Amino acid sequence: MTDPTAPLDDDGVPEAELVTIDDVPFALGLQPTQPAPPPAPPGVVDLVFRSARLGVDAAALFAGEVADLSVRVARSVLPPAVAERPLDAVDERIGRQRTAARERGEHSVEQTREAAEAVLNQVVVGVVDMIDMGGLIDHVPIDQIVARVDVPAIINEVDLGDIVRESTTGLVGETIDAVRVQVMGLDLFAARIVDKILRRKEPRPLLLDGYDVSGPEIRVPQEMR
Amino acid sequence: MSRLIRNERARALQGQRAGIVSRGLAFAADIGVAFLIYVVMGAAVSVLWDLLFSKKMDIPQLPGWVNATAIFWILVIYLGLGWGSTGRTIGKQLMGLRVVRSDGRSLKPRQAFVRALFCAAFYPGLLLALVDRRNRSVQDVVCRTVVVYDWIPEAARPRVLVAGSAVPVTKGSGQQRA
Repeated sequence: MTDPTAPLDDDGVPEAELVTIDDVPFALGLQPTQPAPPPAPPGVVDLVFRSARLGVDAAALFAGEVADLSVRVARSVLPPAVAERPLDAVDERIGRQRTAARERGEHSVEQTREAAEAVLNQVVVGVVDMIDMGGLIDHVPIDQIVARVDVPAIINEVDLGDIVRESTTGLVGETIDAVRVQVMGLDLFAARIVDKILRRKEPRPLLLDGYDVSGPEIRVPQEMR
Repeated sequence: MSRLIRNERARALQGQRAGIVSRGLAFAADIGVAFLIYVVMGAAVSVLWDLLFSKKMDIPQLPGWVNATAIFWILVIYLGLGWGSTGRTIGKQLMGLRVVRSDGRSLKPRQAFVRALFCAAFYPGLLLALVDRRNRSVQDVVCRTVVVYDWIPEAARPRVLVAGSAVPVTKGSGQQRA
């Protein structure tokens, strides 16, 4: 409903119905856009991850140094006619990777320092807040609560290291076994070829008397029994 | 700790004389390990020296014969220690091999070091294993040793007490262990 008493503009439209440019989003049913919130400061988890990344980068740097030294030693040991070109190529590749590792390391140092400062600030703020709430803390039996928490039992309960160790060992063991089986096949194949060339009729006596590993210590899977 | 060998042929070959490919790869891995030991030791000694006695960090370039000699002796010590203790080095463990005496018992330390010296000085002797009917290398013939497939590490073998003896015996190797 329009107000009949509202003043009219030049085109005869009541002025109260006019909208300004600021009113357009509302008129279209849109919400005004909010400015993006600032990114949250890094926390303890960030610090842990960045420290770990820094450790990895440091290890990569050390590996680069070791590889560089290896090339230098190999260059001095091997004859130049054989090793010069491959070692040059390896050297160049190592140089590139060392440069990249150094850049990553510097970046990681910066990131870790930033996270450490942020965490330190949060800790300091937390401590200050606690001091302000001293009166309340006096009424909370913190010692009794802490005494009731069996931290070693909790850590033993989780035993994350054991979980990681077992899964990794299993995976690596399976992979190594697969490689060993392939190489065993190559052993037998090479022996067969040589025996054929030498016109041997009988297979090689490979069994070693006095050495028995086919005892019960070799666990046979249930489905294979 | 238990150990599982899923492959049937691999199970059947346990305890038998290993072929040249496995042994060659194991030896190559051992040379790599000896090389790595030398490089890491050299880098560590150099860094320590520079930190303590020098103002600038620099890894010196040693003559080739010094590097070759050092790697040779590191290889001998490394192989000798491995074979004299568990019969395995890292390369052998990787390929699931073990060095034993021709009667199946573990090597004596002196025998292990003689074999190591022989291997490091004359590694082409391994080629004899390709044509020998019992897969023996020159080192095996001289030192009376055998390299067998043995994937099960010692720690995985259950030890049992023989009746009337207080010495634990590792089943399978036919040998008493302290």
